[in-house]
Amino acid sequence: MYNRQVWEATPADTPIHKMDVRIKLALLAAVMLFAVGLEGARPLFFLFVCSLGMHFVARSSVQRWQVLAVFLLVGLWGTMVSQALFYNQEPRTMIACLVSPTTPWIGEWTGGIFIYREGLEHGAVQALRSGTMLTCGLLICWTTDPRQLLQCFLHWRMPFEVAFMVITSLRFLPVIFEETAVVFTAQRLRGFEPARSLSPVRWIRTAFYVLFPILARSLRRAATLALSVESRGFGRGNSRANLPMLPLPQQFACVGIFAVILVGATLKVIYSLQHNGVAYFPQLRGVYDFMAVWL
Amino acid sequence: MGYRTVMRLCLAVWGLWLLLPLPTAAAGLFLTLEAPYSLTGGQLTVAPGQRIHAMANIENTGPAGQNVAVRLELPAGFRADGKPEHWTIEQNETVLGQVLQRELNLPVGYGQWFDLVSLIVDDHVSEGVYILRLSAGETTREIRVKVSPRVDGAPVHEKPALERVVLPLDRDGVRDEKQNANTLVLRDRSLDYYKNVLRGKGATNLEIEAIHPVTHMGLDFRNPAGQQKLLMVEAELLDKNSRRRIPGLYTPGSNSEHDGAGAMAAGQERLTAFVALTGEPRQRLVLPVYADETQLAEGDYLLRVTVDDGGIHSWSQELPLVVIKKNMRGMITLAIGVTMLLAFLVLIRRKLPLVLAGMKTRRLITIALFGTCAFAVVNVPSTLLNDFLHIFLGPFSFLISGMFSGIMLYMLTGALVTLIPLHGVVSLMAAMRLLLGMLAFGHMSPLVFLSYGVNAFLLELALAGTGFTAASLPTNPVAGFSWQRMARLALACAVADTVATYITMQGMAVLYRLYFADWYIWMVMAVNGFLYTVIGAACGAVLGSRLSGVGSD
Repeated sequence: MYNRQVWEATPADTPIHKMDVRIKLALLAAVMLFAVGLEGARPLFFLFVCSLGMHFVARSSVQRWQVLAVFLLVGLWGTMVSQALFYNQEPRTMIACLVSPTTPWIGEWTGGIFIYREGLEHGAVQALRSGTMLTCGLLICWTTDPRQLLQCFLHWRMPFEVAFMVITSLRFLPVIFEETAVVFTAQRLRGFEPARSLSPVRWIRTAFYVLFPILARSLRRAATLALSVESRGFGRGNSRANLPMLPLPQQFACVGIFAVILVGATLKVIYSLQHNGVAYFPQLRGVYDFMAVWL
Repeated sequence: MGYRTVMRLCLAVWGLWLLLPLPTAAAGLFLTLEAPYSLTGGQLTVAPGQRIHAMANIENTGPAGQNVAVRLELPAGFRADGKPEHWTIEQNETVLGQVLQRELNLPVGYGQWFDLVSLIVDDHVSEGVYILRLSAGETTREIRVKVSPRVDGAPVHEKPALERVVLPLDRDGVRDEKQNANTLVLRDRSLDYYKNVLRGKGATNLEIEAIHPVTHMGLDFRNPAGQQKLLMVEAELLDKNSRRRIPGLYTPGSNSEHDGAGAMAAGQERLTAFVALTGEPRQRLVLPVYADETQLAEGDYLLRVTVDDGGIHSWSQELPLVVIKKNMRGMITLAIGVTMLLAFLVLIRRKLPLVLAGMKTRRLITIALFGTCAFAVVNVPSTLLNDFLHIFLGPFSFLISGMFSGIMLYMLTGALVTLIPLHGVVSLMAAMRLLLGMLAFGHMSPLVFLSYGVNAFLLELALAGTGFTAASLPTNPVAGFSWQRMARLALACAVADTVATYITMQGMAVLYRLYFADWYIWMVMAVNGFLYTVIGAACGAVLGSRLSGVGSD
């Protein structure tokens, strides 16, 4: 089930792989800002297509595309369903009634639950925001070695103890997955069938029986590992792992990205103030028009 | 000043005296007649074919009430426009022209009566001065009306036309450039009560306080004939697709059982107003627009404006209207959440080195492994299962996936803080989950950072506030399981998670422009935020106390 080639970063000779992790994170921040700040369906779709295009550039494998498609489609469906139920803008066209307002208790409490056509459309558009961020997040995940990311965080003054904890977590993640599977097998061999019902009491008992051995093992492992790393001098030296300075073109790129972020955020704030009738500056009329028409 | 100038002045004064209506008082009756009656008061002449108004006013100044017969004698070339209500029309016996008659009862004590009679000046009437005579009993009042063709050559028969409807305008009728065209920005009234409490205004009627125009609407009329009319304007909102009427606009003081009190109950679902065309060639009628912010939803509508002048003419225009509703609750909640996140980051920057310095390596590894467990048995299944459940259960998938993100997560958290009741432990565990999520699933979004940050901050606050965690481990730790500690832990976690759930949902609503019904938010908070967390944290306390007996390898 767990395929390393899908979930873990693999080296490749593509511009995305070669890109410095700091540039990638800056780009991700810019994409996040635009994904949250854009209003229209067309610019959002354009951003989404651009983020998908980056996977083409990174030559993501077919399996990765499949994983990405599943995540995106399921996320899209979830947002569409939730918005079909809760959409409260006008106009809205009811296409089905799930709970009538006259239904005792639940109907009275909720005022009726309906499916609205416009809600489905709205959900599809808004799902592009989370879809874009997920696409870019997975791109970074699949094209960047975790060590590079950690090195970057350390360069940005993450305490080395936290970095050590992350490395420990990454190291023991497969082990804990395996242990969880072993615990489930052991419980089943003892006649315990956790997935038989969704009864809360049964669920809590299952959680208890599964977590206790895993955590007990973790505690013992922590003691052993602590002795091991302390005997090797962990915590004595505080020298920071610094990344090399970015080459000049990448420095310019970084500055450019941050400038875009800053300008985008400023424009968004200015437009939001005008749009909501809070503050209006007549000399910025062109900016308002640009934002309304293009973004 | 020369002789000619003096003569010209005298002539002008005499001419004005002839034209001005002068009151007549005799036999206890006071009469005035004004024609052409002008709302602006500036019209002195009438044109052939023009429709004018004559304003007749009679006041009883005598010592007793009077029954009087009123006669309005029109000269040849003048006639009543249709059949005026309560009047009878006859032909004048002596000269050519109509006579309008009616009976009046004027009570004692300045009993007054007035009427506005619409008249038509014939197309072929020759230029000159004509006399209109108003008689009440023995009292008579005459005025002279000058007829001459219009100097601007405008057609006198052309009806007024509603050219366009403009909004939003300010109260002076000037386009409000602060807002987009055809847009109505509604205030969020949901926090009004709290605002009043903060301002110390005490008990106020919020419904009456809310009665103020949202904006103003302009009706641009072209009126080349200079007609004067009283008009009734009705504005209502229509569904853009089905064109059914949608409530939201209202007329203050007319839509309630307490009519005049200004209450906003259901009833009249449109804006109604009386306005007057004053005879200006171009006139903008400015109307205040009242909208019920609690009833009107955001979105795209059609605004239908109908103008009627008593059934003679009617005008109607429809224009698209965008209604924007400020989600102040969401914005304020998000602002509070971001402030918490920033405060948490500042706190981390200052306190984390101390926390880490005081933490043994074994504890750091324990937290890392608990974080890994949490990621393995909470984040991974809830990410995959939540997506899968979304297909079948939609937004209600949290009822099942919450068993992971609520019960199991807080079992782990509860167990960890029972084993290591120190400040910063929860934050470090959350950081592990966050970083693993970033590295494994690419979970990097503003909402993820907000959710994890606010949750960790509130949990730290709640656990520190209830005395469950401390800066250093107690010298004599409580051994074994305690119901009191379990209850404290469960309540602290539940309250923190409930608040964090609310902030996250409002963050989703604002940042991702998603809509959630209030009942849904309450349900998620109650079930996922409180109930599952209480169960999980309580079980975590039991689990932690049992794990405390586990030794090392």
